[in-house]
Amino acid sequence: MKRTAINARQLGFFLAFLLPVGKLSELPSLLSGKVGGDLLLPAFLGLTVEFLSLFALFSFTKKTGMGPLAYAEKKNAKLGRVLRVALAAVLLVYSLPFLLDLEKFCNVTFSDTEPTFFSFAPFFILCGFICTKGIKAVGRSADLCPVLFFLPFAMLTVLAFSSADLSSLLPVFEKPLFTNVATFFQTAPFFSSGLLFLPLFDGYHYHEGDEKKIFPLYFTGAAAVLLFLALFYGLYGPLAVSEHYAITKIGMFFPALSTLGRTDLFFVYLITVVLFFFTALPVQLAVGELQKGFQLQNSLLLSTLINLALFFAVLFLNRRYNTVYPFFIKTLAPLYLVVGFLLPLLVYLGILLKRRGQVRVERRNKHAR
Amino acid sequence: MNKTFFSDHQKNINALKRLLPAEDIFFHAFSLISGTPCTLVYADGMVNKGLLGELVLRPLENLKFENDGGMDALKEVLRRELLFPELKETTELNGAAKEVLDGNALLLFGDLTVGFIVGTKMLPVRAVTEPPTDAAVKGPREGFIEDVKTNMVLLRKRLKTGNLRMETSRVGKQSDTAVCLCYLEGIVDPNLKTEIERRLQTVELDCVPDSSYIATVLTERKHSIFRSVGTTERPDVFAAKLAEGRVGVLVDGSPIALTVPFALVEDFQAGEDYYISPFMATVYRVLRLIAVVVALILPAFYLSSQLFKIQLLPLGLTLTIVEGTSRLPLSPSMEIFVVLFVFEVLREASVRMPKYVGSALSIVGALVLGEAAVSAGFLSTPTIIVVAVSGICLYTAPNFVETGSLLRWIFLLVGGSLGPFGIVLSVAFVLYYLITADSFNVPPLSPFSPIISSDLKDSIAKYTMYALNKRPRLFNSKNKTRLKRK
Amino acid sequence: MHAKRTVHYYLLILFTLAFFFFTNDFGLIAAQKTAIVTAIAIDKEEEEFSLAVQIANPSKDGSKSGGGGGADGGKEEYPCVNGKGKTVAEALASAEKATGWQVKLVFCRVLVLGESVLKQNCFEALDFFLLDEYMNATCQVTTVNGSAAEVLKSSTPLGKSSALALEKILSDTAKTAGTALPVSLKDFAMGYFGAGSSGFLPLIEKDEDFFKAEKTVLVKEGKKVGVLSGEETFALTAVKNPLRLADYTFPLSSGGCTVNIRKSKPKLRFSLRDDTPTLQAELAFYVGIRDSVKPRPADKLKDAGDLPDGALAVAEKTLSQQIIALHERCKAIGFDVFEATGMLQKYENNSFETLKETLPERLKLELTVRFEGVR
Repeated sequence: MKRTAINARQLGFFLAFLLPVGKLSELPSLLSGKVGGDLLLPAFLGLTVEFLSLFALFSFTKKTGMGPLAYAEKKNAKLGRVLRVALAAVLLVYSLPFLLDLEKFCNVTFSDTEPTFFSFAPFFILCGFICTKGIKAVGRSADLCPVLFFLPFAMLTVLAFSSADLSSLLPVFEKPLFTNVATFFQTAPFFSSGLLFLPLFDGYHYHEGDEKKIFPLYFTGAAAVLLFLALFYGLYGPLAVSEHYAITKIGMFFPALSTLGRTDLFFVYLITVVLFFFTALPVQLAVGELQKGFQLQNSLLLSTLINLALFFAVLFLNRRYNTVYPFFIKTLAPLYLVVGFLLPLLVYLGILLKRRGQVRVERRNKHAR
Repeated sequence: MNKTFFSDHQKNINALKRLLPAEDIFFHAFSLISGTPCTLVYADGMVNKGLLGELVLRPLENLKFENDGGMDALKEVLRRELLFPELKETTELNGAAKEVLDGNALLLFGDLTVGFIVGTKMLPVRAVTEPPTDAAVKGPREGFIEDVKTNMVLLRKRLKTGNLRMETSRVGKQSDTAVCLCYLEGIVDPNLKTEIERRLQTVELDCVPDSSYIATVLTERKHSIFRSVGTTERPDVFAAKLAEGRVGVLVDGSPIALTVPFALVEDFQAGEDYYISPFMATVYRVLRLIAVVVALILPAFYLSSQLFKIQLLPLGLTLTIVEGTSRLPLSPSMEIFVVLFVFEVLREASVRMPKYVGSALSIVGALVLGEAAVSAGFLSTPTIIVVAVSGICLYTAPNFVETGSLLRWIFLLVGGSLGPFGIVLSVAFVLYYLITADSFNVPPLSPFSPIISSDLKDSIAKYTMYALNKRPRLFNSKNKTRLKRK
Repeated sequence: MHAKRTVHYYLLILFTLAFFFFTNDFGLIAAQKTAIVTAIAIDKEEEEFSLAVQIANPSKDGSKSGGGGGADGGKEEYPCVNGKGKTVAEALASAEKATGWQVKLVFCRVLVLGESVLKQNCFEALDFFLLDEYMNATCQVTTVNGSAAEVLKSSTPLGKSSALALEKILSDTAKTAGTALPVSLKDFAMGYFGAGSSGFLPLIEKDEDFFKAEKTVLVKEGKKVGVLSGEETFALTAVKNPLRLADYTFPLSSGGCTVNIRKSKPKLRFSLRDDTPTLQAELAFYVGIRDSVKPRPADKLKDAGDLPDGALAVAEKTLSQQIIALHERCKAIGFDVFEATGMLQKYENNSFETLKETLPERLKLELTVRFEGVR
């Protein structure tokens, strides 16, 4: 049995626990602002799109025995390297809105007053360290997520349940279908995890029965996201649009907390560890792809340079948040969808057609003989 | 210098005197009835002189011997007369000198070009007692001592199998310390054993006073604050770890035995966990884990909540803390730093000071200093309580104390300068470091990362003995079954 | 070598952190130097907001307590600091200047709105608190007749400060007992921004030294439109929330009777019948005897299930009448007391636009009240 950098269980945990965490911060308020109580619909659409990317890449890996980037590199080394570098660039751009969100998230969650930007700078040290580790580390970090994410998340949803009024989600389909679809496009970065799957599947090799582990875990994560969105809107209703960083806000209305203090923040802090891993992930994968693309040995120097650049980028963009954030989320959404969704689908269809073509040729040859 | 024995008795004596010039090396000359000169060379205080007299000198004293059969006949006679189970011959001068330094006696017989090593070692050793660092309420009370032979015996008592291999080598140019590699043939992964042997050979040490030197040689990440070699003073624990597929190392002169590979979860397990009910064992392990987490995080959290996020505490508690600290001359950061520093000083001093003043000074330090400092308005009660609780909690996992103390300081520094953000960031950093800091191909956070489901049964949770019927998968053992029901 | 360099990097980071740790150079302010706000009273004088900010100021001396009164001199434990400004933020900043410390709102438990604030849209004042990320959204909002500052500054024997005393009477226990209708900042804002744009605020009154919150102020589009009496408040609470261990007194021919509602199950169902918005309210109460005017015989003293004859029927009738009276009264002033507008939007969204303005006046209430003895 071939040893993989990331095995099926780890990939499953990644999909169930690491991936959803990126959707629990800013996405709920964004969706609420656009479609109100119908926020589950664009989220469902987004999760479906994400699943299709996953399915396409998984099936591709199953058929070819390797990830698409490795496959491209095998067919044409130069093309493969160019694709890696291009993907790295997209990943770095993709990471920016999440970094901007994380900075503000940390201000709200960890302080009582607005701290200076430089207090966020140490995150880039952690990110720099994470970037020196490969896909194996991603898999192992996913193994920690049941404890770091699932248990605290379960506790927060229990705390939220008692105060949430799920009837706030009614009426269903209040907004027209077009608005829901448009909202999905306007929040596409949160569902463009295909960008992350592309390099991850390079470290994964298919084994019999893996789909029984991976897909149910993905659905679990997706269900958790939908449940969270429902509870969030049930708690805040029309106020949801102004409640950013939803994961911090969801558990605070449990009655006992008025005497105990904000003990729900302990659960939030555990989830924040996973959020750190998730936010660093596109940068980590980008560094890995650049290393492979340029055939570099020293990941530490590359990681340091990239994180330094990101630090200054975030420092600069942070001051212009209201201008740049819509740019990254809405204007660049087609780029993320093309690379994260269309590309995996095309790649999978391509290999399907190729296989069908091969089968047809074999049959013809057999017949001719 | 000649490496082998001369065919002249006096020359051999002179050569040995050059190799062993120390005053405590005695050269006892005597002769047989036939006049053949003999010399007994030994280190004073290291041999059993009574045994030497009874089993060597007395038989030789009465030996009538005519040397007309040649060397071989002579050797044969000696072997017959000296009915010693540990009788070896050596032709090497250096080897003979080493044996004398090791505590054995060397018999030089006439002009023979061979010396006889007589195993009459009797080194001063302490009695086998309960290990002070690993006491148990239930279970065996024996602990390793400084003598490697005794330790090997203690191990052999528990693993009465021919598969138990104990391979001794010598490490240390000056100390020539015996290092014994112990493993169970057929259970241990051969690659692991080979790797350990290789690492032991990569370094030439001068002196090995303790097993920690060997641990440093075996460690992959020399500058890591997390250890990657397990330690124990208990033979029962050592034997159990060998039975799981680990390799053990006994070092002469040290009661601390080493085991590799090492997973961090071992620090939260005690030997006693296997002798009590599995349910209680699980409870205690969870308690230790929570206590250690509290110990590491509490001071940092306490400080960061005052400086950064008072909302973490209930209002009443916040007001109590504010009330207690409002008139202090020190900032919250300085205050907790001072208290933690004093705590560490007290802890270190209580270990170093003579026992007869130890308890009195501990009381002075803990009660009087603390009480006086609070009354004088120098420190606050909540801070002292926080540090005391943290200090006590860390000792639930005694093997983790060194690493934990360092981590506590790091978390405190980070918490005081970056707040809860810094603490969470540090936790993320430590976790990410640990998931990639493999040692001997074993990740420190296993069986949690990567998850090895069968090994989880004996990690923080402790299943019953029947559930632990397979050896841990972590050690890649060839023989996987350890319990079969008949 | 690589490992040695890594250690140097770590040491550098640690020294930097140690530097910041000891110099406190991130501009941090310790809890001892913050003004921990426990309550804020807001009044409006002409075009200016006037705030009374109650601050927790614990002292080891065990100094005088009680709502910031400080009557006998000595240091106050919960002093009130005044501030004025055109906006609430400006008023808060001017109060901050008086303390010299940084104000933190995370422990603010109560917001008291003066009568003057509710004359115009109270969200002119409240939106500051909604905007502030660090404000406690579970903070209770109340109102008073007259000046909010005077109420906040008054003392009460029930707690160290007026804020703590107010918090007690506005607790969840009071809500389930039907003695008050407390509302958090979040819930009040949800009502304002919701379909009906309405909400309720408990009215704080002072009865000698003690605070009471029996009455409820009706708020529509941020302005006060009416006040519910204690009975009406209870009736409203009984419809909106499940009650637990709530006492209900009603007249009997033999005198008064008080039953203890062990638990209640309100069910509200909204529907449109021939374009008439109808609210079906089915209220079930499980009760035991608490007390009655007529003394009970010895063998019945411990039997909570043994209610006087006809008591349950009388209780049902009395409560029904109170609820209907409440409904009629609110209908007359055009106030959506049962939040039916929200239900219309949820369950009959197609008719929402056409009916939302006239719903309170057109709403038909079909009420079923059932009292059951616990045996």
